[in-house]
Amino acid sequence: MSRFESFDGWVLDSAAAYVSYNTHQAVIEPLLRFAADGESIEPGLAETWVYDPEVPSITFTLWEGAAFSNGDPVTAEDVEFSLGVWNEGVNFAGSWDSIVSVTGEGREIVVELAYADNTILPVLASSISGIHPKDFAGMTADEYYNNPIGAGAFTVDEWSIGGRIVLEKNPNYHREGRPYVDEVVLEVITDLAENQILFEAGDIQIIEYIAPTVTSQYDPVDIYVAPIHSLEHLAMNVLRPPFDDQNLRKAVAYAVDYDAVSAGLGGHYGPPSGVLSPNIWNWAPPTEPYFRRDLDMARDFLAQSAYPDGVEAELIFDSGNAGDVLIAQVLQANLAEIGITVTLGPLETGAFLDRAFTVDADMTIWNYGAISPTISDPFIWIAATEWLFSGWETDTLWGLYFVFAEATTDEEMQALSTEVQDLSFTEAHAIGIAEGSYTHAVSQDLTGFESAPWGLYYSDTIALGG
Amino acid sequence: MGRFGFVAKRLLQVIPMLFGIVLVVFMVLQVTPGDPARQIAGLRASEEDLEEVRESLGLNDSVLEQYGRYVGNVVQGDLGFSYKSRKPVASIIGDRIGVTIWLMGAGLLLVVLISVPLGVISALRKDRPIDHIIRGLGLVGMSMPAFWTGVILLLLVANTTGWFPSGGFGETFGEKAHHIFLPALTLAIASSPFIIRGLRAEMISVLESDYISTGRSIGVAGSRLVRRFVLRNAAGPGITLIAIEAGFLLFGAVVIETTFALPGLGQGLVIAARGRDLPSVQGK
Amino acid sequence: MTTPPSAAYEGVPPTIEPLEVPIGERGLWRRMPKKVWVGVGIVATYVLVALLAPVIAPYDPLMIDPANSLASPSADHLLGTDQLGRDIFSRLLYAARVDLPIGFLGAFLPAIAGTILGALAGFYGRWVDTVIMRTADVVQAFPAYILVIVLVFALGQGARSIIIAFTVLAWVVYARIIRGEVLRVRDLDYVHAARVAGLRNLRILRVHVFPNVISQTIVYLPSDIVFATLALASFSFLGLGIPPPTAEWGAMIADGQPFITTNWWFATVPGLAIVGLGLGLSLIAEGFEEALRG
Repeated sequence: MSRFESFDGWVLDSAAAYVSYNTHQAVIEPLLRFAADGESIEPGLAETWVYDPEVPSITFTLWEGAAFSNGDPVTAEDVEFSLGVWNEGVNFAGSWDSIVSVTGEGREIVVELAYADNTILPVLASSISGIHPKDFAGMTADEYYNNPIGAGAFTVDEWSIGGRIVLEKNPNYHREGRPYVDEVVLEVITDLAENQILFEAGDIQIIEYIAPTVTSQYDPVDIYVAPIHSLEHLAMNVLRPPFDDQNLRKAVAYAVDYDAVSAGLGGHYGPPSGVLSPNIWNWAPPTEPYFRRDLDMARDFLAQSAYPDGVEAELIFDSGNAGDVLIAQVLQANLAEIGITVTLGPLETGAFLDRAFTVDADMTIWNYGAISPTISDPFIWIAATEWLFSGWETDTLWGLYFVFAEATTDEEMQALSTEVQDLSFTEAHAIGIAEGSYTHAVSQDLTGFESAPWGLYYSDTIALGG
Repeated sequence: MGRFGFVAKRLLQVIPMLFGIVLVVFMVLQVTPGDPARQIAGLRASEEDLEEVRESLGLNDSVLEQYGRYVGNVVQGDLGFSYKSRKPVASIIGDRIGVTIWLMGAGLLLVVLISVPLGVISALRKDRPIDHIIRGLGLVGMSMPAFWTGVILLLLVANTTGWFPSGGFGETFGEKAHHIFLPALTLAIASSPFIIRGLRAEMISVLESDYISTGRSIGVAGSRLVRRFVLRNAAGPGITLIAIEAGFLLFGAVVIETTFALPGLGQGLVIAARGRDLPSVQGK
Repeated sequence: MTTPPSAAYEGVPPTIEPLEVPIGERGLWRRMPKKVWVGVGIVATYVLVALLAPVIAPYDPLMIDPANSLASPSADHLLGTDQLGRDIFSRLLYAARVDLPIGFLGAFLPAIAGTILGALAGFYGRWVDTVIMRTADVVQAFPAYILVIVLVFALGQGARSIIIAFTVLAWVVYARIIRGEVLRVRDLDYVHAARVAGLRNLRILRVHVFPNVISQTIVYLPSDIVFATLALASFSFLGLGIPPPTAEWGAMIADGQPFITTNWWFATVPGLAIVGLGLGLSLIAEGFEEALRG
């Protein structure tokens, strides 16, 4: 098995790479899981659960024999301890705020909530809610994060940042027969051509998150295409000239050749439907059809702007992202057609994030996908990024989010989705420029591979032979 | 002063230099963009969280304070923890150095196996066609970018014949030797031309020196002459050259480990630098 | 990772043997071996291509056409197209306008800096010598790759950072060669005579010492251009060189590498361009050395 990105280590909260979530889940399994459709929840450590919004509380029943790889059974105390660990994290600490207490005996675990919370089940199914053994099984935090123990299908035999990871079958795993393979070896191979050569030679069976730019190089039957979910976006800095000018932003939005952007990316990408990642719970499209290329409209908006003769601007992107490097060049060519001169700023990931988060560039491109299956997740993300680095005010957005958390019907939640999408369309501060599928190359020798729209898959369902 | 004293003196001189180097790397990393706190805390961290991380890691202290602390720890044998993984840097280096040593060792071995015979033939057959061919190939080898050579080898050998795995690193000795072959060959192609050239020049000057003529005149057989006198006299400078070459191999290792996806020190350095994982970068 | 820069991207210790023939001697050019002229011919072709690229190239190297990406070679596109549908042949030609100047500058600037510093160190000796040569020690002990990474981070990606990094690293080699040479020349009779005749130091340096030591620099220069070009390509390959969309050989190899199994020419041809240039320059270097060392 090969992966492109490097593993972030075992501190669940601070992992940023999608690939880390896959590995965390396999070792430090949460109570619940997401299904591959991205919209439903499946058993994790818990075999069944009952969410009662009236009390409000959730009652989990663990699988018979659910135990950590050191043999200790999973108990309510472990869940309670894990909650404490989760809440110390700097990234996601607020996610479990509704939980008041964790109690229970034997296989039953009762989680009491302060208020009905639509977001809590998906959060508990995310890899960030992995269950640690109480007091890290007697280790210090640093020791534990070097030698992690969980109740997942695999144990860690060998690992390093950016290096090879070897996972062994957990013989005590609670689900009969699983995992089907004895060992999972993850190599970090960043070279795209080499991945392909090894894959075709049969040396590796899975390549995680194939870059869209090279999917066409593979035999289509080897490509697992998740539902469309990944969103490429462009933000324009509203905090300063020139993009504090709404007409100029719209001129850009109509000048972008969305087909060319998707073609340049390659793979399973197409024009965007909005600014929210699709195929998750209560996603809804904008009221009006989204931006498309229309040079006449672009020129009209430009003429109405304060810069009828064009303007110069800088576009920054993560130079480690092959797709973004290509998109930036397409945008540069598109905008040149209406007289906007774009300087490209390829930045190393660290420097890129620095400038993006401080809203220090005229234009920023990046991509995102959710990590849990409700539309509230993209809400939080685009608010946390000040609308994906445009500097647009976020009070309105947070307002919508709190309405969402307490909404009771799907219609209400979808209306909120539409409202967010419409804001992107009318203001054009942050716009989607392409959307597509995360893909994995999966050998025909394997069966049982399934991944959620955002690419998360479960190693314990995969079997050899097929 | 004996030889030991001389070595000791040189070693003592190295120490202040190392401190200087660490200081410069430290200061330059300080002024480069990219906030390590953001990388550690993660993308969704708030400004307060970032501040907390900076405080806990001492990133708010002055550069000199941080430097002093770092050097203090290093002297006690503590290279610090990777910001990101909480793994001790020493253990990260330990994980990776084996691969790099393999690559360098196998690379050097191939360099010797390629250069010595070619250099000897080239010198013995000076200005004959075989000499011209060897020198011409040398010039081409010198002009090939190592990463490109790697790509071409992948295309020609690994892809078409399936003889060699083109990436990763195995577990057993045999697997490792198998995996390391193409990367080591890439290294050897880049560095052998210099050794061949040096060896050839050295051999020619020995061959033309007086005592070889004497040897010849007193009837020492040709091959024995080469073995006993010429090679022995040319070996000294040759070894020096190869030793210097080892330095080049280290630089090459960074590029080649990246091309061949070998989890060695060079690759780790690139990953750490991209992630602003300062203790890891400095440790190397 | 402590690698002396000379070895870091050059691999060979500078030879400090004296030249047998000073560069200005008459008849020297006639004695140049044929290979020098072959080399000059190759390099001149590259220079011509660079100058005439806008005339020869069939397409604008930056013109994108994503609908026609990764096309195979055809009459329309001699070497096919890249991921964004740009003409690879045109980009190959235009890349000469980037790689040649940076390769040359990346060798000339350190040569000039190193020559001046080496001459000063050799001629004045004492504290000037100490300061310059200790600085050289530190630079040599510096992990070259880290320095380049760090400079690129600090100054931003681009030609400027690359040239600065080369200069900072590579002057040392020249300084050492020239210092050694100056020490040798300084004690020659005619320099002594000049000094006795009361000529000022600077003038002695300029009139008597420089012409003699400059040939050392010139012999070393062509191979250094090769190394600078190779290094530029390597850094572009690692994503630290010339930013897109500018056509550059190393970056083109990196662009083409993922497609090596289907569009093999994409990554191969820019590599051949580098090899050809390197070969031309190496021939010149070798020929010079033969002619000058006798």
